[in-house]
Amino acid sequence: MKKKWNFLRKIVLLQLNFSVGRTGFLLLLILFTAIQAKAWSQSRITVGMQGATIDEVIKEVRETSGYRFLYRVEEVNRFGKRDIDVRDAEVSDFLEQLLRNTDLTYEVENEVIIIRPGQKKAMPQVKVLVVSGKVTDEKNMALPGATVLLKGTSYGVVTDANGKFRMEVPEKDSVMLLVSFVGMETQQVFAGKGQTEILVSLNPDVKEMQEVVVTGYGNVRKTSFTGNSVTVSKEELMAVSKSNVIKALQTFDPSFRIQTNNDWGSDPNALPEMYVRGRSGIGGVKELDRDPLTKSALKDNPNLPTFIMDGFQISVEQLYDMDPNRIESITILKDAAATALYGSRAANGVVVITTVAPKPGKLNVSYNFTGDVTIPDLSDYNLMNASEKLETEVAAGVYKDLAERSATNPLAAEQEYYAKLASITRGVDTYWLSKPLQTSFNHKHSLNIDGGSDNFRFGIQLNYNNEDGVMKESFRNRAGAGVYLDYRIGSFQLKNMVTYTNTRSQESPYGSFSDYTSVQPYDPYKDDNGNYLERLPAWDGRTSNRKNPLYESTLANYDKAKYEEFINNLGINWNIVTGLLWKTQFSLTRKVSENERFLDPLSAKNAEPQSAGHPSSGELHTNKGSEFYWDLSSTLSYNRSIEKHHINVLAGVNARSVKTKNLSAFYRGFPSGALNSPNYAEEIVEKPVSSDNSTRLIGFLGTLNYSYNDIYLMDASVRMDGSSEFGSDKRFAPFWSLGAGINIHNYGFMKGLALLDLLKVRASYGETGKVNFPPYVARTIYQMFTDGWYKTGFGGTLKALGNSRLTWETTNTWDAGVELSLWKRLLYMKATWYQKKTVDLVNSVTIPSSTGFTTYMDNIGEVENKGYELEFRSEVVKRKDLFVALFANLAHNKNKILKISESLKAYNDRVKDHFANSNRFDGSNTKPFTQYVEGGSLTSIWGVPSLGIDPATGNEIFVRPDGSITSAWNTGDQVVLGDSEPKVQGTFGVNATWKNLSLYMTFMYEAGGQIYNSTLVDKVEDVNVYTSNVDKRVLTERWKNPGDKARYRKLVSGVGGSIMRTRPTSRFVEDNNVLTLNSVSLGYDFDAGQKWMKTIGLSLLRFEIGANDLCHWSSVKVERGLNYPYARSFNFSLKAAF
Amino acid sequence: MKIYNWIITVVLLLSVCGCNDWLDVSPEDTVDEKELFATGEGYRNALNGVYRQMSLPSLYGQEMSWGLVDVMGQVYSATGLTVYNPYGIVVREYDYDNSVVEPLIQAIWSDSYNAIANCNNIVGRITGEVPSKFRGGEEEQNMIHGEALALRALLHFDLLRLFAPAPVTNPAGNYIPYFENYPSIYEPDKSVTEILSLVERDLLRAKELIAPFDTLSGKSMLHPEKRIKNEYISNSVTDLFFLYRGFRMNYYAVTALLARVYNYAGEHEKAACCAREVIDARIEEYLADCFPLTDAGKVKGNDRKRYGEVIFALSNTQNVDNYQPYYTTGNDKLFLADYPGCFDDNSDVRKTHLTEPLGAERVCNKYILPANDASVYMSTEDLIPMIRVSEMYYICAEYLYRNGETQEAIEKLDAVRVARDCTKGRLTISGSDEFKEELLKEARREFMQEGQLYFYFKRLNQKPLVSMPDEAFVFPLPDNELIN
Repeated sequence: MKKKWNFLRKIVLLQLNFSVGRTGFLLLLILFTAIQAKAWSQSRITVGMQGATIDEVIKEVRETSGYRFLYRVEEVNRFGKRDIDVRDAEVSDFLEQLLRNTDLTYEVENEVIIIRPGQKKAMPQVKVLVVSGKVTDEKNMALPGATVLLKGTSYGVVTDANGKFRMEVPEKDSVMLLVSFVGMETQQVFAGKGQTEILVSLNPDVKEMQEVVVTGYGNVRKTSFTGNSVTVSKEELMAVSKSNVIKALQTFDPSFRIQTNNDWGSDPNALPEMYVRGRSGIGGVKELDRDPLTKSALKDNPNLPTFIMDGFQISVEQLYDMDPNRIESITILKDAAATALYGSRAANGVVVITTVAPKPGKLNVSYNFTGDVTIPDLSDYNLMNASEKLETEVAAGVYKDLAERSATNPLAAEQEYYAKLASITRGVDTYWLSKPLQTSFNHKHSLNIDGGSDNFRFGIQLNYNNEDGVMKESFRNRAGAGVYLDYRIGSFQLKNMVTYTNTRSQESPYGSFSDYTSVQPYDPYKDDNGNYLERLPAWDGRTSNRKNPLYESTLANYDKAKYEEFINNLGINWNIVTGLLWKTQFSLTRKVSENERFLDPLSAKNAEPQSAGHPSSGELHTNKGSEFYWDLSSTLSYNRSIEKHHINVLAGVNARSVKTKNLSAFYRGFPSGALNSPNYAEEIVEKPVSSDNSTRLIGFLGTLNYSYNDIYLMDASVRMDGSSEFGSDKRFAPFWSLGAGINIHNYGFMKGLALLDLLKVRASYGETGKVNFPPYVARTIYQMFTDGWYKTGFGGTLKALGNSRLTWETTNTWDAGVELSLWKRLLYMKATWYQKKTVDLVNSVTIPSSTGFTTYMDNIGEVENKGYELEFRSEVVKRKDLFVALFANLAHNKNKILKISESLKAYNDRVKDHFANSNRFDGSNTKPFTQYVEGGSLTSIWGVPSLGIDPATGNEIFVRPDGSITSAWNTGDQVVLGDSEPKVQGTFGVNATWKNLSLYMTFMYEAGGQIYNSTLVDKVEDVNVYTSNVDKRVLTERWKNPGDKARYRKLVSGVGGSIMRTRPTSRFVEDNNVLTLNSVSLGYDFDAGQKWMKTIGLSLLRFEIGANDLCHWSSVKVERGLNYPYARSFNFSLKAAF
Repeated sequence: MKIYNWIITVVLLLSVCGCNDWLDVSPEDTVDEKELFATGEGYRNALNGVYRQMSLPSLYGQEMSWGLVDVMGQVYSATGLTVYNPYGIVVREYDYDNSVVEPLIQAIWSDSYNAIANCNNIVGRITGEVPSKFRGGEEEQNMIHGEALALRALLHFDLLRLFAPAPVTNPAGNYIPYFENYPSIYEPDKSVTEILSLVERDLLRAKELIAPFDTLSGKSMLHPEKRIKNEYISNSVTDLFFLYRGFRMNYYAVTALLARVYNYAGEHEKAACCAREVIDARIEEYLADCFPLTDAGKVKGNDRKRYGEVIFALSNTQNVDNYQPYYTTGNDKLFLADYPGCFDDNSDVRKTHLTEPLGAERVCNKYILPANDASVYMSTEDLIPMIRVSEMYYICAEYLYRNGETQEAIEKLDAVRVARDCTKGRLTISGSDEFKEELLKEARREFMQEGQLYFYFKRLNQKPLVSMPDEAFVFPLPDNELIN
């Protein structure tokens, strides 16, 4: 017994040796089951199979019985397939039947059954063919340790140090070999008669992406990398969302978050704003100055990460409009060790996108279809219907107040009430919310054709995606095409990718959704002929100017945009010698965009609507833009293992130039909505404005990744960046990072532990930068007078006080983490702690105006983000037919302003002044605005602390900073009441496959943050019951009589228009805990090789149904999607390959 | 390997050297200062920029000429102005802290100092330049340099006159900063005397720098017609930049400004000396005075700006449009105060031809397009008179009077009055108060809508309005100056 065990262990060890890579060796496959104590004599065998080889039968049997078998697979498989059917048989009976008609004999020794050729018959009929060859990677570098298997058997060899192999195979007409290597795609090769010397070149396997980290300049082995990154494969992304890559990314990294945009909900034309690991900057457009019409502030945004696609920088819009099927993988680089190679663009994190490259082989056609049903989600709206509303009006005393006011006609109030009641009795109960909305069906097609030889490959991609929004007639349609060519000769590789994208988008002519949430439900919206009414009924017989928001949609108003983009990306790779690679890439992007906004002359939205005194109306705004970018990078890398040292060095240069041009014009006065060409315009209101911008960047970079024995790891990177955006005194800036780590699991003593797959400890520190200020602030620039000359000639004046000492913002990042995997990934955990301190924040500094200017930009201000991230994965069940994995992640971030400049104090004063001015009828003084203070955060909610409603008087009681109590809201009493950034946020979900079915479900959560519930302010407390529809909560918890303990002030009818405005108070700051069923998808893969599939030439067929944003649970009941509602989407997709 | 290393090194070195230039990019609608000042043309552009800034409504295009400063000088009566209009508030109460008045004061301060910063950048850069860079050689270089210095002095001087008390009150304390360098983010406040001496220093230096151009090669350009209207073409200079010397800080403009500064500072002898130099200026080759008092007949022919006697002016083509709202129906109007009370002679052409009725009141018509025969007016429509020669006569008169030469003083005043069609010898002056009064009356008649009357009041320490608060002679510093 003991002897046998030793023997087995020896074989196991030999096997281990193969995979580590020694010389070629005839692989004897040993099959054994897990240690199960089963008595030999008592095991009986039941098996029934048809058309199975002996090998397959034995595999089946060893699953169910406790026997071990020892045999040579190619020996037993020489005898072809057979049927077997034994029930509860002795092992000897079973073996007799199995080995019938063969020359094989068996021998049973303890639990091991040895099958070998019989002695009596020689086997001269099996002639042996010797096949030899060499296996290399795609760069023609030898691959030692690659496995070469005879297809259909377990017989094979591994390659030697030079990538060479030699094996004996039975001579047949053709022999199929399977060549595989970790991280490479398995390849099939024929070894026909006379073709005994075979060269095999393997390609990197994308499914094994986890094994390398894509930094954009090169790939680093994940095991030896000390930076912090998250890699997401195409399959994972697609399982979460088939259309919105950016949204899907949130699932995989709890620190990557899209800024919640409560105003624009699911508007397909609202580009997302995002940040990684908290907000780090103040610049850009602040809340108070923000134009409510802009959907996102992406220009000079201080928090936006950098997006790199195939080595060159792209914009958020480019990624947003990209066909997700083109994406191979996305890597989010987070700490300094991972991002330092991007220098002045790295501080907010870098997102690296790689696209699919064509694969060689016969012509491969794959088609992907996604159908998507998007349904508006109005579950957050809680508005009244017609009869409820009228009752509420009565209860609020509207008619009582009206009667009091109109002394001349005491019956007017009653008339008004009965007119409304009659309307309701007639059946009018307009559900305004649904009027501008639709359920949209969107379809997406993506076709990919590739193929070619090893030396010449090509790929063609076509895609079309129509995305109709849930507001009627709003859409964003994208169409694109791409051609990829890849040519290899000797050690050179030349590749070129051309893509063309055409995007057209349109805003809904129905206007803002908020127009529909305030209209009265007893108002009819169309006349007897079914046409939209221009004006809503004047119930009081006087107010004739009640506009129907739906009427605008019947006019010729439009707001549409389009852009065309052309990208050419050329790359040359040269393998100078083994391990030394020169890579050069040059990409060109040309983008032409156009948008037009037209207001019908009849529209009420005109600045001066049409009237007798003002006959010409109608406005047309046009804007034409063109952008041109080029990006050049050239790197030389050396990658080599020398004994236990593994070195990966890279040095290179990267240059980028951006040139943008814009021309906008404003025309006024159009004869009609149909005649809306500028030719018809009565006047050009402003001289067309042209603007030009140009920025340039050059960087010299170097990086070193070194590991000793795969245990001790080290990373160092440096980049010297020169930017036209820096001040002229500081044209070049150095950025660097250092990282170190230990692979504890690779220590000799740890290797014996079966439970531990991975235990890695790592830490990094570095300095990276960001530039997000307009280019002119760093330099003294003259603005030339383009609108008129002076009498004695052309002139110009200083545009701003340039600060030639201005530098980039620097972020110092500490990042440390541990990664642990146990029991063959049964449990995987990753924990990271980080501290990001952004110093030299670029901010405007207030200076005495006697300098000629009021501000200049300087490096003042510090912001810190500290936090941790946890990631957890567990492959709970890993069986042939069933696979279940659970995953969860969590991030915590704490943002703190350490230092601010005078100008921010001035901004705080402006915020205070904003509230002090009581004449704001736009409601802008009921929303809180963040003020910046040292020690505060960039996401603080400001307002005055409140004790609630005084039961005696019904007035709100506020607490002043000195502790005293007042009923007056003072702008200077505002303090931080909460923080909209959650304490923890993240995702959890499950990924399961059962046979051909696969399920992927993710939830997103956030907890510990606060929100200012503006619905309670605008639709409950401050509401004008007389003029607008209200939330159903309007009558509850109201103060009515002295002594009432109430949450809301007394309800006033709104007659006479005197509605008190509730300015920011702690009463409406609520804890915001949210759970969203982010995505669900269920897929079915058809078994490849089925007859019907073969007949129509299908090699892959997959169906999938899914849903996004299905459910949303929140601790706060607040209206979401004010200008554009949120939506739920259901999709089904089909993927087929031929 | 070795070769590759070499190639890489060379490429890297080349790119590093070329980088700094390559990184110098600027948007196409703006010009980096290095690029702008790479040629002499750039200095011309920058100087034109300063003139243009000064001619905008927030400065001399309105507030510092016919706008706020004339309102403070009680040039206009309160009749046509409502209390909602900043002018209406100022003309009655001098409430500079009022929320509609404050922005005007703030703009005067900020925009003047911005123009000063523009001058300083020219001054700072031009000193190191080689003369060959300029088309007009050293003379042009010096001329631009001098003009920038003089404009800087003028702007500081006017800020001093608004934001600091008059020297006659012997004020203590520091009031405004004097900026001499660009960029500078702070300068300390200085006393009135210090500012005045800095203004004097800059003007003397400017005079010296400009003199060669205006007194030698460019003298012909100072001919009265040529200075303003460019009608007298007889020399070869056709360069736009050198034309219209009367619109620019020419040699005599600097001299006249010096006279004004000395006069304000109370140094009457120096003032008179400078004033005389201007009055006596002649172009011998054309046998003409540079600054002859304009004949009344010309005024009757719609020469409402009396361009021939303007020594320094600014240009703004929007003048008529800017003034229009103040004499159109439905708006606040700028009716002349003390009309006809201030006129002692009914044939005074300033009374008959520089004012016109609007309803029951009178308005000044310097910025109103004449209904008939507008051609003369049109050619100077854009002109904003900054200094005219009559002021030089008054400065002389004041010096003479203070020196006890009363009759000579009256003669100087009469010289102007006669040119305005007044009868000679009407003026009798007994006592300095009467002289002061006559001088103020004369200034009211002469400088309508030219922003000078207020400073006459201030200099002589006499309130333009009896009810004016004492502190109203000094503007409060704007909020954006007081940041700490």
